[in-house]
Amino acid sequence: MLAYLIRRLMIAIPVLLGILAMTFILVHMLPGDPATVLLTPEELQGDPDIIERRRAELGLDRPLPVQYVAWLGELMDGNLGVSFHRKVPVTEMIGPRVMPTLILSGTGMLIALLVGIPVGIAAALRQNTKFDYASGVGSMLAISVPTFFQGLIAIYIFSIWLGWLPSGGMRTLGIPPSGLDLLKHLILPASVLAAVLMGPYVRYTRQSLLDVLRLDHVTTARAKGVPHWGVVVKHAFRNSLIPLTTVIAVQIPALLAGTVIIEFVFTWPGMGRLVIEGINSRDYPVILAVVMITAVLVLLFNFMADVTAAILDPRIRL
Amino acid sequence: MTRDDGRAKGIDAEAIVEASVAAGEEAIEDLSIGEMATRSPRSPFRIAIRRFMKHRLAFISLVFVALLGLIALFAPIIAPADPNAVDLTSLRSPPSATHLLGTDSSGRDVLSRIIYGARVSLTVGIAAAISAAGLGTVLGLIAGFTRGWVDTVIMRTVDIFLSFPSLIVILLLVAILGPSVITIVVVIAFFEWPTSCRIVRQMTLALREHDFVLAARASGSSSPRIMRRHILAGVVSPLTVVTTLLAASAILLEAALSFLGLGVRQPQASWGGMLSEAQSITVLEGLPWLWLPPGIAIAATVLAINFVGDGLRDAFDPRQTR
Repeated sequence: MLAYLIRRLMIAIPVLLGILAMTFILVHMLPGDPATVLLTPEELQGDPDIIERRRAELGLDRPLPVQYVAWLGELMDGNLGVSFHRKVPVTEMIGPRVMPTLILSGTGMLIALLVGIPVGIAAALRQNTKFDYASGVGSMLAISVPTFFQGLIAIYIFSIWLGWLPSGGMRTLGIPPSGLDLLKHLILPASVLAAVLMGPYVRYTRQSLLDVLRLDHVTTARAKGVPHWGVVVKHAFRNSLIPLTTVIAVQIPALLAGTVIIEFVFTWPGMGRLVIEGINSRDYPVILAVVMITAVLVLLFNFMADVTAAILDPRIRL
Repeated sequence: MTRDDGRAKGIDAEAIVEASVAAGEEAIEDLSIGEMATRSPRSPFRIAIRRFMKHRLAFISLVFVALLGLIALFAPIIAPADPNAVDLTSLRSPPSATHLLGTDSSGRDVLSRIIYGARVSLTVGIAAAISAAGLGTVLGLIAGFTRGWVDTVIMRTVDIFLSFPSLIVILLLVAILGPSVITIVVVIAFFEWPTSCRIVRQMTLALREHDFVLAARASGSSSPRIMRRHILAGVVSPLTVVTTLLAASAILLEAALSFLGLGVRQPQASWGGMLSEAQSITVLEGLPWLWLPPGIAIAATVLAINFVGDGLRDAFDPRQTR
């Protein structure tokens, strides 16, 4: 197991450095000179040499590889740069946005798993029935209808037409924050996010369970008289989970993309909305910080999926 | 190589590869059966076409996409009005005989804008998918055929690209480079090639061990020639499936970009851009003809393309019954 983990880490490290290098290249593609960003117009007019001195101060006159290493050092200290727009450290802007995004994406994923996996299992066990076809077409629809359109329809039906749920935001202004109020605001965006994620979960659970049910050990279990549900739960389901762990990890970028759009449609005050605000105000350091954080998160989730798969399937460790 | 390479990433890579490898083997078996049978020999391609035609949903979807392509091509003839013509006498008018789907906030005909919007969606979908698949194929062939350190470098690059949340990076790049159809196509292709690269590499690794590669090598074929003539031919069927699915996701990406205001420039009509009007609650509540039709247009197009992709995958998969 340890050898396997070390091998996975050896692959993850160059990928991490590659992610950081690509982020660094993107930083340099950005229009706008970081040397002038933090200067006031008065300072710029009063001193013609100030830009040069500023560049030297910030180390922008050094060769790119040196700057890259220095930038990595800054990252280690938790310095993600300064917002062009608000002139505050990016970490300060991202900090308060983390929790709302975690709540939204966590709930969305939970709903998707709690609904998607049972539906996938049921579809596999009732292969080629009406239920199987309906779940297949349903998950195809969920993948094909754009996230923002699903969100708009949800708002139209549940907020405008039926008036059951608020159309956006995270809490009602003017009343003290409460769990119930948060829940009311959470239901619509989290359900739409779940719909986006659910399609692949249903499809992979179904396919993976069907594949496992064809294997010899399942036939053996049936032959020795294990009841149907025992076969499914004890012998097939556990094995069918292995590819699913990978699918969940692979879906993380889709989850984040979905979150960006859903936070925008439902004016949810999370990191995704921060990205859109950042793009509209051309506040590139903020966007890059979010991009980098998510890329590293994706890498982390992939690594965790590998570890989980190795725990579930000892053959992988070899 | 580690074990993760065969597992599904993004698009159902493993299933596609497995099915295609099996299809190749079946085709070889089929040859001898075909010679004995009284019927004409069935090429794997013909079997695939027959299976695809039997897949009713996929076939209807293909007809739908083809019709949409014709509508986009002949938009100037079909559209009842100029998509950018402003009619100040009827702003936000509901559907009527003169404007079948009503008019938008600038008094432009919604139906005509939807017809013209098909051009943007299909152009981006097709161009981005073909460029992404092309880039992925070249790199995947090289990685799978040469192996060694070249393979490692390409596959780690794939890992790097797959780690990035593509929507956000694409948003950022389009914001920097300025929104236009070409930028959007290039940026989408740049971030969507890794899926096809993985699949092509996987197929190449399986195909290069076949005897016909050895035979070609023995008769003096160079590596580039073997890759072009022998490996590429075997990769075509999974590649078709992947390209189809890539087109669907490219259309969704373009729609999302336009919805967020970073798509093609106004006043050019695009479906996602038309939907962005629904960000105002008054439009959402009172003027459903402004946002429902473009939304349905995107959903129907993407759904149809996904069904075609699904049908193609089943058609190339010999495990399915004929």
